[in-house]
Amino acid sequence: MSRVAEIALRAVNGIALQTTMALGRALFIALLALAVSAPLNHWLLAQRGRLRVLAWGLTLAPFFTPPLLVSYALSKFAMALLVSTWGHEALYISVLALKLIPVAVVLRALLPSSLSAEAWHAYRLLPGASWWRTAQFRLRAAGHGPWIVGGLVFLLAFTDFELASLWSIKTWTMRVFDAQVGGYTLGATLQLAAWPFGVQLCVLTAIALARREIPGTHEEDGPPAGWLHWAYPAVSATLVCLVPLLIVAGQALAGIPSLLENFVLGQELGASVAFALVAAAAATAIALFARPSSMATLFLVAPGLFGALIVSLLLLALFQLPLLRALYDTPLPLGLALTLLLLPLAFLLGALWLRPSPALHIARQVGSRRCVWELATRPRVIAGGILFCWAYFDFTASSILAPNGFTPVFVRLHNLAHYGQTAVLSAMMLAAFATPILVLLLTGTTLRLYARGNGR
Amino acid sequence: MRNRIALIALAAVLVLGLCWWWKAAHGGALVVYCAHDAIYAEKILRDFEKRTGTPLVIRFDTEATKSLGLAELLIREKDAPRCDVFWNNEQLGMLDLQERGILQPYQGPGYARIPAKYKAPDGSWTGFAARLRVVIFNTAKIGTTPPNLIGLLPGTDMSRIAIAKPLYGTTLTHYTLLWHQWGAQKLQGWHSDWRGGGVKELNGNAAVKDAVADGACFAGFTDTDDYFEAKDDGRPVAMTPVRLDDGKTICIPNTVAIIRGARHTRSARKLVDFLLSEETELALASSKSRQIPLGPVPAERLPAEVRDLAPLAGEGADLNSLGAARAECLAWLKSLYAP
Repeated sequence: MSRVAEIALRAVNGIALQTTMALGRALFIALLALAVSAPLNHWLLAQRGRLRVLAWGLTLAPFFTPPLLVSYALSKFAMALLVSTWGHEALYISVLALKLIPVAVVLRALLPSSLSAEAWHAYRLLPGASWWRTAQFRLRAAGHGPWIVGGLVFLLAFTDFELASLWSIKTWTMRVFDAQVGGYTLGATLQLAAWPFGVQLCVLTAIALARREIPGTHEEDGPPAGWLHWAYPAVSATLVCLVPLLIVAGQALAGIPSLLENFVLGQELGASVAFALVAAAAATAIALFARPSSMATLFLVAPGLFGALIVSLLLLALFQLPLLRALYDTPLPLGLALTLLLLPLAFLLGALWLRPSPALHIARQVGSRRCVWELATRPRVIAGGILFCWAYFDFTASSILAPNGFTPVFVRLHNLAHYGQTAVLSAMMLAAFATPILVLLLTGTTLRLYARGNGR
Repeated sequence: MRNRIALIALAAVLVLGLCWWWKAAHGGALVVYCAHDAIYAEKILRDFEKRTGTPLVIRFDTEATKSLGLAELLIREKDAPRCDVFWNNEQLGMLDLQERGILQPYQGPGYARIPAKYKAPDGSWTGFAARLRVVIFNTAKIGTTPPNLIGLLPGTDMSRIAIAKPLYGTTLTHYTLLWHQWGAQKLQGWHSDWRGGGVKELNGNAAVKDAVADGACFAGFTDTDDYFEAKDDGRPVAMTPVRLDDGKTICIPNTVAIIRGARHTRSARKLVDFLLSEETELALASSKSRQIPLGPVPAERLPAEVRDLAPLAGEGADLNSLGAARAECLAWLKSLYAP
């Protein structure tokens, strides 16, 4: 075969190969998430009081750590792994898995196994059950929950773009991006993405078919809280959140005075906070008002599951249509994109915390403002805060859809990050990371004071 | 149900009102799309803003994770442009925009001081402050003798050599020149040998610089501005200019143009003249990126490294006639990277 023909053949197989690679990675991460999340979820639900807050905080921390912070802090380590293809790949898969396992844990809390402890005990008393039969029994008894959990984690891993692009990982989202930059029309790009779209649609359809009534927060006794159970959340939070944060903070110490002397990030931080607030409020409102478990919910959630890159490119094309062009260079396209991207998480949190419960109904009947605060208002504020953080850390949609002159901070930081690690840039990273925490702390304190003032 | 519809209608009216207000409030500023590194370009643009009192809104491109390319965005916005001035960091993309009728010719005092080799004859775009394509190598790993990367034989292990993905930026210019000089078949064979040898294809020239400076790779192709970043950081690197088969170097200028249909033509012209001035070229030469002035400037005001680079820039291959080669080369690369 001639060399040119070889190249042509490779070209045809390119997107299929990268889709297959992404599929393999996503499958591995989904299976890993399923395996790890089951015992972790039991253990988390068994925690009480402040330990429970700490355990959940450590478990969820990797999910909320922005990919830029991780890749910036670990850039030297990643560079050292560059020559080994598998080392680089392993780093990417590990970080992505650690970021997505918390999603599986939260979903597990929503979709508990229908196999009760008693049923499991009764099965174990039966004589002569082989490991194969036991596995079959557990799989059947688990119902649709694990499929939904695995499916959603798979979709999030399969559509990852930001972390892949930061570490030059070969995946279909990078190909789609290259096609866009290379001048493909949106139609041609979507045609290119037909394979991965097909995969996503299959998984989404499977999730839709497996959909069932969400039973609400599920609490059951878990294993005793030994130190070993703290190992996973502690290690994952340390690797993905704490170590990058310490590296950046250590470098930032020398850069903070220069940054304070010439603080250039004010407008970008303001833009990030404004977009995140609007998108979080809109997504929370939609999650509250939409009817649960309807097909409409699936339609609202589906765009967000296609990933930020596809959603942003579609909205960019939409706002270029003559009828909508007047709204193009305004905050609307980005606000809309962020809201769509937040909706899957908003519905997830809504199912966890925002649904009316008998306890809330009784609290309202008896007029207990304190109970209503605990059961309704407080969870909504926490859900809003989580959504705010998720929107604040967005990069992909912001870089494509932000209006001129109102660019969110992470677009700017991405731009600066390719100069390597410097003290001032690390100080900027730290400022960008600290801002949402500061906003949430201020909001939380204000609301607490307000609640106290009103005797709640 | 009625309450819900009223709420949605109210939210829609509020959003549309805010959008209208936004458009009205931001209509007066000069919009600049800037593909040059923000760290160098912003200072110059803000200086212009301060001196003229013309408010600027700047949209930067990103290299490491690459936002949707600014040139591509300009093509999409062709029917309703929101950009007034495009400061590109290379020349071939401008040729493409010129062919598509997106640029508005302007020949002011800035245009007059730049040599004909670096500008469009009709004034659609003008070049200034260039950088050179170089081979960067790690002296701690392979010593101080410059490696001959182009001459590496097929079958050589190239896993310690880095190059940026050639779909965009100055690597595309490099490939286009090779396409023009070698022809399609030789370049495709060379590229195939490189990939077969395990060359590291990274996101951009800065990533190549990092890989070589950290010692993960021993050598790679990048530009002078990235090389100086590593050198200033005290990394063990050296460079040698890339030479084509005819001995020419690859000199890639920044380019600037006014967008056809720009809303602020007068201010746009002022900015273009400012960027093409001797003062701006000297500022870019004195910055950490050490850009090489293309117009006449007093040599004694240039840093020593830029004075050394200036003759090499003069030996640069002509890029003006490469529009067709770029289109063909890009079509092939797209079939490889985004089929």
